[in-house]
Amino acid sequence: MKIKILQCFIAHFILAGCTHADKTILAPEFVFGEENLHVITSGFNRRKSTNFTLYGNAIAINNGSDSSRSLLPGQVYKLVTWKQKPNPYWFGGYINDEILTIEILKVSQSGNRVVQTDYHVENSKKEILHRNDSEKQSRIKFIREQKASVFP
Amino acid sequence: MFIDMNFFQSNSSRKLTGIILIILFAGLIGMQVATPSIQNPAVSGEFKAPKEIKSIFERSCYDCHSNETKLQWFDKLAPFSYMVAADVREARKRYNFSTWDSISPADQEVKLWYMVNMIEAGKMPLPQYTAVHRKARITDEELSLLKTYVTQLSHRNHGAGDTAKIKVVNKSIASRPKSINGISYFDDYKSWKVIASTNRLDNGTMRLVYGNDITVKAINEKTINPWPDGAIIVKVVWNMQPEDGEGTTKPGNFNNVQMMIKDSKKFTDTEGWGFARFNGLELKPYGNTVAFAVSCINCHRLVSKNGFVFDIPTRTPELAIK
Ligand code: HEC
Ligand code: HEC
Repeated sequence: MKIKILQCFIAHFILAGCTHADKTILAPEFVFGEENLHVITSGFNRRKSTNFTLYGNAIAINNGSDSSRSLLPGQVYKLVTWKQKPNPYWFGGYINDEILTIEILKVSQSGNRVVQTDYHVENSKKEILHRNDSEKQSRIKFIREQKASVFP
Repeated sequence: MFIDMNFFQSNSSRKLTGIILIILFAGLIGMQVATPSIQNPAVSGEFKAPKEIKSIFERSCYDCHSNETKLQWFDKLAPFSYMVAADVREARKRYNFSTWDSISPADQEVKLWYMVNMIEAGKMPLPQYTAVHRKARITDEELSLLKTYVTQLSHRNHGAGDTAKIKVVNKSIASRPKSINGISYFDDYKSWKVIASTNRLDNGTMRLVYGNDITVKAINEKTINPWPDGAIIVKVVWNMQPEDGEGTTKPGNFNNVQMMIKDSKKFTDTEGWGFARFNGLELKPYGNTVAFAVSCINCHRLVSKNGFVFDIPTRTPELAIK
């Protein structure tokens, strides 16, 4: 009996030791948020282990059309993509990890009512990442195809 | 040492010690006579699963979470018998493998994932129980069998995704439904920051978790245990649509919204967190009695070291020892 109690004590210390080892390291830098930008929709990609949230300003948000969003001057879209990892606190759950890219799409108007799009990609350090024209076009298409999530 | 060894040698003190021992012994005997006996009511709706899965639960959990409690002789000795009886009573109340059919298949699925996560966290079977019932311990191989079992179960239930037409808001619905504990629905969170974006295999849903300024500040300043009063966290849950050709999964129908409001003076029964949940686009308040929040906090106790919050942004340590 004594031995069992002792084992129990030892086990307890080992367990306590483990919890210390995987101490929580908070990462506020994973949180994205800008005044005036609200969530339009979100999604994830299990194959790529990423998840994303599309944000937009008021003009962008009020324009959730059926098939493709129409581009209106003044719209600002930011598509934030995170790495995704298993939730460290719940087996079966997945949660976003660090920010991989922020894609920024701004719509403006040039001279004769021509709508102009300005698209670029940054990493979390605000360094601009190179994309060729066809890549840019396909990402603009992706953003325009996002339907707004239903909120209550 | 403060004990005067001579004290035990002296005749009168020997007598005194003897008397005390007799009283203690009589007390212990008395406790044995009055010791609580555990009844095993009939098994009415037994848990069903493949044999290798069921046998793990039978060996490790049935002593407490079923009507087939098989006690060892030392479990029947006071004072242990009192603790065992209390544990069995509480465990059967939480869920019971012998009356498994009395809960809905959806609740059964939730409980099974709860079990796997309790085992993984080392909370179940109760450590004080496995310390003496060594055979009840669950090995790593058994835990991975259970993980595969629940993953396959949920894949069957939710793998196809939500293909129903996406319903939109019906504006005529009363705008601020109220939970039985007094927490009303509000939609200020739509302008808050999203602190986490999550999705779950176990129920085919995806979520956005919003935090108010106090919550975000607490994360920035790393003061989350305890979270400051005034912190509010809102989780919006959608069903998943089927994965598209590129592997992307998008939210389908809105499912529910859940809230946690920190007020250490008001919500003293639930670690200072007020809980509320509103289901469906009609935002039907969840919970028939105020005690519903106790079941919320019980599961959230798995993350007591994070101030009872699961979805916080965390960096994985380079050399995590697990
Ligand atoms: C010695 C008794 C005992 C054994 C054995 C035991 N449990 Fe428990 N269990 C309890 C008690 C008591 C509670 C409630 C208090 C608590 O959570 O500590 C509980 C609560 C739970 C809960 C929370 C359920 C809810 O809805 O609140 C889960 C899940 C659980 N146990 C799973 C398991 C699993 C899985 C096993 C076997 C691997 C197991 N338990 C073995 C006593 C036991
Ligand atoms: C069986 C375990 C369990 C129960 C019971 C439970 N939760 Fe949670 N809850 C979780 C897990 C796991 C997460 C994190 C994963 C996710 O869903 O994104 C979570 C997340 C949350 C969050 C987001 C903040 C956080 O902690 O991550 C809120 C808000 C929340 N739950 C509210 C509730 C409410 C309200 C109830 C009761 C009606 C409840 N929960 C009951 C397991 C549980």
